[in-house]
Amino acid sequence: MEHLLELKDISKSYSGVLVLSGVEVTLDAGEVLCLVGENGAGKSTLIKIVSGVVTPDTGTIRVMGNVCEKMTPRQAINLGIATIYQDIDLVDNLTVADNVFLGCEIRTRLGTVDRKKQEEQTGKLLDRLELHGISPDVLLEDLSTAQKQCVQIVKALRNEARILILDEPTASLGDEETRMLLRMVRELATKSGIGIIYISHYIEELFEIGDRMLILKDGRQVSVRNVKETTQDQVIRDMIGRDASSFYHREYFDPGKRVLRISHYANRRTVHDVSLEIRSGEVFGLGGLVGAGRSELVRMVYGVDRKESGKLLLDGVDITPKNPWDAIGRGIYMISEDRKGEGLLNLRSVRENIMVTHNERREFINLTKEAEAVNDLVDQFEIRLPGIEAEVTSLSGGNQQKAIIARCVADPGEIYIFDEPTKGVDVGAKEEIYGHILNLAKQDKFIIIISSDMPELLAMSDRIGVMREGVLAGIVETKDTGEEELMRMYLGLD
Amino acid sequence: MAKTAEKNGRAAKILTSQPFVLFVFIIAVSIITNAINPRFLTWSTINSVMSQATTLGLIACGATILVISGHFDISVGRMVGLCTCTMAILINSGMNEVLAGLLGVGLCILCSVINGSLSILFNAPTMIVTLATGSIYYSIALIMTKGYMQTLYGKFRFLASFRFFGRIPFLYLMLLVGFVFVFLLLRHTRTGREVYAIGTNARSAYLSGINVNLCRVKFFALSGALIGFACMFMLSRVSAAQATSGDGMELEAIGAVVIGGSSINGGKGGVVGTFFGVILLSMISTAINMLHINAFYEYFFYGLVILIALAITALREYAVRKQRG
Repeated sequence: MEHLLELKDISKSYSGVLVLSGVEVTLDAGEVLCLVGENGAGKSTLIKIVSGVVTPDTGTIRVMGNVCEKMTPRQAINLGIATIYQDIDLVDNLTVADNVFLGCEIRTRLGTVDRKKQEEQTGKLLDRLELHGISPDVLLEDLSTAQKQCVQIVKALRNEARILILDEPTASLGDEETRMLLRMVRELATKSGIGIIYISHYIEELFEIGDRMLILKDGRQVSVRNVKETTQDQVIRDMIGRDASSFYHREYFDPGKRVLRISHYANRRTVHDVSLEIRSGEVFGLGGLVGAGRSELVRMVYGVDRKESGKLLLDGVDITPKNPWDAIGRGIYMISEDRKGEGLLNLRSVRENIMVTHNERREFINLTKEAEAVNDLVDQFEIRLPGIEAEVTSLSGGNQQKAIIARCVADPGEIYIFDEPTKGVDVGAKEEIYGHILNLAKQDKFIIIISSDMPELLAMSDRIGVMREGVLAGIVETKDTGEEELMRMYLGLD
Repeated sequence: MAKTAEKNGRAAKILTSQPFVLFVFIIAVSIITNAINPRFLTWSTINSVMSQATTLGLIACGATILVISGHFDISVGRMVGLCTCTMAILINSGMNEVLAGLLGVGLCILCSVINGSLSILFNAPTMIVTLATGSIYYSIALIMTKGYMQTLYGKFRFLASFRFFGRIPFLYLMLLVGFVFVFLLLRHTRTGREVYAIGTNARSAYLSGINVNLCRVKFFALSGALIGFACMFMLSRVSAAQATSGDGMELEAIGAVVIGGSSINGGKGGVVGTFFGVILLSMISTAINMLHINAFYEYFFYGLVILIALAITALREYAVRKQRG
């Protein structure tokens, strides 16, 4: 029998960084294939390739036996591949039926939209999925999140999808709703013979719904396992891989005496009453899955995002910053994970980028002295560049990041927050960045580091605070913690 | 070797820079016009070009600050009308001329700061906010003047008539002072760096510790002050004011900034280019006059020059991209 979908030797790299290599997998009719892997393992790239958004560098995609080269999203849809992304992309102020037929409306003879017919057909589809609670003529905004997800699936079915890709469909659903959705997806596969690719962080969910699992790690395919013949432990072991020994070895030193207290930080939505203490000279890691509230917490600490409550105390003295310049005035620096959007002054020179924070201290700039200071920092951080007047975006990712770190040490600081400091940075530059971070710790500064790369977090931190669904789930000493244990904490297992 | 390469690179950079291209263009237009009508390169013609350039130049200086930082003020023309009318009414009512002038400058700063603050308050694009405020300023000017022209009958002439060494008009000097001021501001001060930083990426600027909203108000205040002085010099030169006195100036000013090579998307540019842009635009009307071309063509050439400047900018960016690969 022909496979519904067959991927052979799929690889993709972005500006020299391999994000996916040698993926080989098949999907049959009526089957649920789960994609499993850490953040950045390549799951999203893979589904983007299947849905035609991204073209792979190598490899072949066969849909029902036909080779698809340079597939566009439109072609993918025509081939019956429907992708439902985590964020709902429906129009809130249209009715359910209008949403389902958006872009391919049924016309009357006069050329106007035939609402009646659309509602009729939508009603049939809803019945088929046993979604009796949704009426075709209600406005989308009156539905719950779970119901909206269902409408997305209905829309995919209207397009006669043969392959349905679901990216974290349950991320924003409650228990009851999740169960309903899972049941529906399962039935779609068994009854309608649709092939389903399913992505979720919740491992238990995958065991409930999946037939097979494709496990990815750093863009490589680790294994394809039959759900019935495997265990959670095995899957977790596959997810983290076994090459941790080759990782960075840091030097450990005794932390200092000063104490920074993050006290009762909360906002309404993503962070709920987080308190923790950090010693000076310590590298404190913040771990957790995407959406666990790590970045949200440190952004409140830095004074960028609004908070409901929370105080920052250094040796008992209140130093809570109101905004970024207030934070910097108190020696608090944060390096955002979004380098392009929140770090770099894209069109400007390396010189202006490095000195932007420092220059806020006085009105007049002595260009000669400034150049000296910049050159010193460039040497100190070994930033490789054609000259300090070069546009910052002409540098490699690693050198851009080093320039941003240099910006934060141009003036003496006390507290340094690194949010994903090695994202999009090549291996060599990663080690240099680790060195600079540890150097700051050695100078008795407070260091908070967020990383989705678990080996990195374990190698860099003295202690790791694990966040889960907006709360601090626990703090562990890295010395007696393995990746497996940490992953279990992330996932909230036992 | 490396040094000569660097030197060559720098020379190439200057030769392909927008201000230099404009400079060559201005010289070329001057020579051609002068060949047809030899009265073009005379003191009185240069005089006429420069006096036109003073008002536009100072306004374009302010517009440069705004455009580079990612803002537009299209209420400038209406502000000029309101401000010159206010000055004229105050002077005619017997107020000290200098005091009246300074009050007018203050009024411009106020109007400009209102523009900036409203755009922050409503989180709305400055283009739209100033579209609205400009209309309001215009109406205030009409109500104040009842629609009549305010003539000064020879008062307030001292600014325009003053000449250094009996030859060099004070106004030219003020034009240069304005440009040098903004040039130094953009290059050597924190405010200048903030202009570029906010223009290229306001979010990064904010997280790097720049009080972005306060800076925005500061930029509008600076632009307002420059507009205010431009109004003062203009009133002194033409000795009359009405609500429509400044009509179209905002677009001429933004045009000059764009011709000068500053990026309309913000983050890039400089005031040297704007200077040549202003001279070029001011020359056009005089040149057309001297070449005995129908005056109706004036705006045609304005548009053409802006398009040519855009084409040059696009070409240069294409070349840079190609070079990088």
